[in-house]
Amino acid sequence: MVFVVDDDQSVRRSLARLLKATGYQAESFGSAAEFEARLPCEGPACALVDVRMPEMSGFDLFQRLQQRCPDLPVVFITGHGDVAMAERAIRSGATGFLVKPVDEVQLFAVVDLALAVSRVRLGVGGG
Amino acid sequence: MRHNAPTFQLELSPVLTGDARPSTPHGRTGVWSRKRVAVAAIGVCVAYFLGAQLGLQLRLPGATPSVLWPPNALLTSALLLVPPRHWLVMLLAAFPAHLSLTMGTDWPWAMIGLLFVTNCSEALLGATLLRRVSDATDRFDSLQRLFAFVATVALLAPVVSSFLDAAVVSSFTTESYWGVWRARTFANVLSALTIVPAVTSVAAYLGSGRPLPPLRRVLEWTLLAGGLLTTWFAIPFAEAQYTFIPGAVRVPLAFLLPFIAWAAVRFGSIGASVTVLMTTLLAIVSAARGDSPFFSLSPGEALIGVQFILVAAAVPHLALAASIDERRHALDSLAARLDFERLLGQLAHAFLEARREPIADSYQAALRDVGERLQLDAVMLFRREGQAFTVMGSWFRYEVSGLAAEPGPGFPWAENEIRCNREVLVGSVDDYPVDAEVDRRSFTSLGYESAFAVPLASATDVFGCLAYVSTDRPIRWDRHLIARLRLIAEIFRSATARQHAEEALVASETLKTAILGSLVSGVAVLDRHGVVIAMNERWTALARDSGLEWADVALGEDLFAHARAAATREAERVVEGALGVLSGELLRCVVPHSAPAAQGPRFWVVAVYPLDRPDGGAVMTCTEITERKRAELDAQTARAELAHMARVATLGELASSFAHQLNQPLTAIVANAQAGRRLMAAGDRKGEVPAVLEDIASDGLRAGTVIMRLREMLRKDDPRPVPIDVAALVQDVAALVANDALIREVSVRLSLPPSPLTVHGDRVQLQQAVLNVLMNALEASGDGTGGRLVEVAAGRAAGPGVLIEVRDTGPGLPIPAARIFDAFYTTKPSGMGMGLSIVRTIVEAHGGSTHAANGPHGGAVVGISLPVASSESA
Repeated sequence: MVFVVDDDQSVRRSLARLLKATGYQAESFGSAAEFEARLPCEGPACALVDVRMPEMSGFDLFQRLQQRCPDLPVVFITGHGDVAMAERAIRSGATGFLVKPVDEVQLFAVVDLALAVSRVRLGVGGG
Repeated sequence: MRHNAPTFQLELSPVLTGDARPSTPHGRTGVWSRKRVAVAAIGVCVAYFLGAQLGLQLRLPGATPSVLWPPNALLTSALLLVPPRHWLVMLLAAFPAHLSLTMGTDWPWAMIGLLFVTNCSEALLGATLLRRVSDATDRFDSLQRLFAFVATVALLAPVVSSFLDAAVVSSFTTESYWGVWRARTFANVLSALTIVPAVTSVAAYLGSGRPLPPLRRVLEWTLLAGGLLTTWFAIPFAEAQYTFIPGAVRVPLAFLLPFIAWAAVRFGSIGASVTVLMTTLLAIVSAARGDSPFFSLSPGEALIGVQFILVAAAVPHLALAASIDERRHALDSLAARLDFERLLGQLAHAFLEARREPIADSYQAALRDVGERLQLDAVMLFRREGQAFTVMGSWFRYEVSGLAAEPGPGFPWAENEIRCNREVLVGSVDDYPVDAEVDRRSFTSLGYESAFAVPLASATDVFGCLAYVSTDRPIRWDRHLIARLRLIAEIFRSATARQHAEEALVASETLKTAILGSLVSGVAVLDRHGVVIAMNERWTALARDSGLEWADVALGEDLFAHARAAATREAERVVEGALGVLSGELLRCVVPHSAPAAQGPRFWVVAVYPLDRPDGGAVMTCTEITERKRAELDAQTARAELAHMARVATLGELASSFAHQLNQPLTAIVANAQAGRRLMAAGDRKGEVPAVLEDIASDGLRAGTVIMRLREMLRKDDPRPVPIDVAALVQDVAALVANDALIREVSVRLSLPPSPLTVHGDRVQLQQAVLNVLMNALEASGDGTGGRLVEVAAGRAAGPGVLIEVRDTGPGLPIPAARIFDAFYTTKPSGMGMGLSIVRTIVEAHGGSTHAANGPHGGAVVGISLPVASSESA
């Protein structure tokens, strides 16, 4: 299961659509609060979180998720493709990060990686 | 003037200073020099002695008393001629003569002394009384003067003093009181009546310095005197040989009377009084020889008879002469007055004519006229320049070098008097006061004898002086003469005052022309009817340059008529405005005008202002304002450039925000496209592809909008005022900064009016203004430690306006808060300090205002007030 959290409706809808069209299960949320309301989740999953969101930013959400669902891998999506942002994302413990606009190859690679991490953390074998 | 000319040289008035104090016509206040007094005293002494000797001779045979007793009369004459302050000297001078006469007699000393006292008392009484009742004690040329003389000197004084005399004589001798009284009274009355007028008037005449009469008069007088003597000799002689007329030999007096009449008619009072005296003497000599009409009477009684006849004959003849003199004087005075009035008329006329010729020439001619007619020797007209007086014109009877323009030591005392608007009258050099030593020396060295100077004054100050000078002879400045000289001065005064006024007028005209000429603006001054009464050359030049041909008028032409004929829009507006100004409805009227030219358009302003004068009128100015206009445009351009630069800078700050805004749709588009491709490859069983494509198109448009907004902000157009809804404005700007706010982790909360609220203005400029304020607030809130919230509230202000207030949670504003709108004022280390300055410039250009303050719970509040668009505010 892939959760897409982005305040921009077009972005989250298109990403969810692309994931679904490729065979992933995807759910999208317009804000961190909306996503938190959906938790907890069961089974292997990952979250694609936009860094820049009003009220609660992607980093804030990630900190809270580490409390509530420490096993859920998080992938940041950012408009800033700079090194500082990537470093910040990785140091904070994110599984990966994507730069907008997102290339499907990278998207699927990162999502696959994140789901694999999730399975490892849940102790679920196989693929 | 002859008749008024001096009759007595010594009776000069003292220096007259000032007002209308008349000069002294008969020496009442005169002061004589010591030398003159001494000479007079010796004369009195000698005359007294000789008179007494004569009196002793003139006695009828057998009678002790004299028929005529001259000493007392001569003493009286002396007192009449001499100023009172010297009378004592005269009386004392007679004493030696009196003493020597009485030394030979056996009279006791007391009697000699008392008789002198009675003699003096007669002279004193007569002279004192006559001074009281007569206006000229040395003249007997009017009935009033004559009768005053007869009543006092000839009757009262002898009669009264004879009481004393008789008392003295009767107490020391055996003679009877009334006998002495009668003898002395008759003798002294006759003496006074015959001797005093003759001696006094002749002495006065001789002393006056008047020229001797012409030869014809002298010859006639000689004939008269010869006739008198011949008759006196011939008649007794002829009658002794051949008796033609019974008793004629005893009365030669009868034949002498016609000569007195002749003298009275032909020679006036002086001639008559001299003839009366001669006749009296001859008659007494005859009587002394025994030839008297009273041969049948005793000598004593005959004496009185002779005296009575002589008195009876003298009085009417003297009266006749006086009345003839009076008449002649009246005629003379009339003629002189006419002559003087002619002179005044001539002068006034000459000065009026002087409008056409140089006024200096007419002054010269007028001064000559005055000098010649009034028989002066110099007449000078001075003009005051500061404290000094300079000669404006002068006339001199004689070509005397040095009399005129030689500066010399000058007349400081007299000049000061004149400056104080006081007249200066110098009868003779002795009249100067002690402190006028310099004046006195100048006066003497210039050879002046007499002078009179009249200040020429306006209402406020003395601007000149007219001086009359005599170098030949001292002049008696009597009140008639002074009155005339003042009249003449008045004519000169008004003429010079007029000249000054004209000069001042010319000067002010010159000044006006100079001022008008120096003005950069064209100026035309109009009267109430629009006729040009003054203008400068610039007006004409500007009228031609600016293409306002109707304004190119000549002096005296009707500008309104020209303007109406031109019938252009500007001309009509100018005439309309000018009429409003003339009627007082408008305070001013300003009409702009422009015309194309090779170097770009040129601009002018025609302005009409009321002319501040009783007659009304208007001042029209034409000023070229092209330079000013260009500067204004330049400033506008510069402002726009600056605003644009600021926008570019602001957008630069927002670059990441824009990138984000573009990235979002691009992300969606890319994702959608890839999803669509996969769906299509999979056969699109659910028919999702159309929705995908629709989303792609929508996001493409969305990206376009972002780019369009960016382009708009970067636009560099001239301002275009349009109606703008305030809510939309704020929302647009909020959208621009939304992403930036996210980055700064600051929330933006909008509070917008429920109904549309419209302002009028340029959209980009107003967006920029709100954007700058908002950016500032975001930065402040991002720096602050508070809630990281920016609230934007828009709504109606209390007044007829719109208020957009931006509240932040930053550290607040430094004091004074208003300074944040100043250019280059910044609290940010990297800021230029232009942002809020541009806000103020834009808002004020839209007729609004800005304010800034610290909020009650910290943070800053920055507000923009804008006027509501007119359709809204209605």
